[in-house]
Amino acid sequence: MLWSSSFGTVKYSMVEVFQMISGNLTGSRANIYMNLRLPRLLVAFLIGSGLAVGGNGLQLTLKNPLADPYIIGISAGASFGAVFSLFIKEMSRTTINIDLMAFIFAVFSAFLTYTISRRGGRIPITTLVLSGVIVSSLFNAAVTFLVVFAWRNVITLHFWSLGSLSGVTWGDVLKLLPATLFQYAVFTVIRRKMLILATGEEHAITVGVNPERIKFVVFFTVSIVSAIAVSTAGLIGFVGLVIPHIVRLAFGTDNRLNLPATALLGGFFLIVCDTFARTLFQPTELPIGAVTALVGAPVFIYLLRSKEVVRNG
Amino acid sequence: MDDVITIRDLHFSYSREEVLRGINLTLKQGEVLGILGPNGSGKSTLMSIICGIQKNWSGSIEIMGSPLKDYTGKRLARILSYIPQSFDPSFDLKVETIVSFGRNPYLKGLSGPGAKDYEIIDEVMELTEIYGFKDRFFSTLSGGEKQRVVIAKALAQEGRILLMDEFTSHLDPGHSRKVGKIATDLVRAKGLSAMAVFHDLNQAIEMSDRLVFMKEGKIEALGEVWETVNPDVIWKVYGLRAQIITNPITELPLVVFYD
Repeated sequence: MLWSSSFGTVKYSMVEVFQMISGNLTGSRANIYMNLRLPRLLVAFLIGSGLAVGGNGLQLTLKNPLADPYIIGISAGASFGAVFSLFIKEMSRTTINIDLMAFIFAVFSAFLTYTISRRGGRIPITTLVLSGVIVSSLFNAAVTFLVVFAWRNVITLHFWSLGSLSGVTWGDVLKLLPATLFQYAVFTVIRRKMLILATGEEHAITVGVNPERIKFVVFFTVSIVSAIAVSTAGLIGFVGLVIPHIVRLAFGTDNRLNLPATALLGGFFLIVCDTFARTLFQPTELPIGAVTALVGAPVFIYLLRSKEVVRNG
Repeated sequence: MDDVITIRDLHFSYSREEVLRGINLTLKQGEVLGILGPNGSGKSTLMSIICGIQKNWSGSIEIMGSPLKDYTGKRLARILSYIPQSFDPSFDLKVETIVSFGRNPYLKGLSGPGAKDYEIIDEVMELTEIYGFKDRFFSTLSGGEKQRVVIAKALAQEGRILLMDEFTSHLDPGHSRKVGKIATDLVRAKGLSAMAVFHDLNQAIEMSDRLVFMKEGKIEALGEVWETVNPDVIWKVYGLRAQIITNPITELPLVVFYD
């Protein structure tokens, strides 16, 4: 993990890295590391972990292996909220908290997709993916309008549509950490009920689980994490889709290690993607969303054709 | 107390269409009540109302002496177990995990199943003869094995009442008989009461103590097997001509269609 942080426009040796973290090495090089590189590493881990755990939760509660915050439009909603808050600031000089706005629209888009895709108590794969696409493109279009209207350029747009971890700070780490931990704690507590829900809503009712309550808690929690992730780093897709699937294959859905493995693997995956994003064409940075999509889209296609999905038609 | 479920004047509609039109029915302690009727007669709707899946009905339903509407989801799940036509989890789970879901109504807050719960889980897996493959994944099982897992899960709930909705109709005749027998034997051995929707008339006759014939949301006939099974009722309910003979082995009615 730390090793990947040594690569970049400014290179460090592993010895340097340990010296800097323990505070034995100071100076401008150490400054760059401690205030840019290290928080970036941690933010990548937290976002990757948060999105993967969120995707896992959505997949179980929607009984759908293709659900993730990006696919079902939560991230696009959050990005609209974030841009809208910046837009209001630009236009009227009044400030509305960016994370709060992102959260409100994340929740809104989650329930919008859910309502559109629900067919007689079930959420079929096709309608879920299609409604997610519709809701996402709606919000992405709205973001484009706002950005061009307010700032008269499309460069900012790249950040929102493909994500980037450049310029993250310790402040972002401190925002993401409690949100990610909160989500992890909630999902640990309701894990059993989420698994029961994954076997069908009617079945859940007959063993005393209230499906609406669980879904509400999951949507709400995932929206918090996605909102903060998006307002920090823009849209990063496919992490929440690919990681839970790999972990399911490796450990099984009902394994105790499923959730911790999802959290860890999600974090590592995004660190690796970000390292590629930073270093592949340096000094120019690749948007991290492009890297995750490059890995994620093929897995998505594979999943769409796999048995798990065919069964859920 | 003799009646475990008492239903009076039950009405239910999906949007505009009235599916149940004044059902009066009781389930007696210790009996297996077979429910029969053509598709769309309201059998499955009746079951899903009793186990709390469908709300918005009108009339009165009492379960173990208390109104159904007063039950919380968990309390109801400790009394009623539901065995659906098919159980198809979206993600693959181990057999033991699925059976353990039956203990959910007894678990409090954050704690998972304890030692006592696992004792019960093991016991019901023995009873339904699935213990041997408790660590296998559900998707790898045959249809008959799958339904036994679902029965084990229902038994793990330790309810007094079992609701079964055409729970053998996806199985071949051999497995259908075996699974059906496991379920009804357990009901009798444990002194439970059961309501079961049947597809197959003769299977219903063999497994039930009393029968209910439903058509278009109403009850056409209700009573002991020999009282209810007659050509008139079968003509009214199914629109088929039938002759009733005595089954030489069980001495129960045997319905033979000749249309």
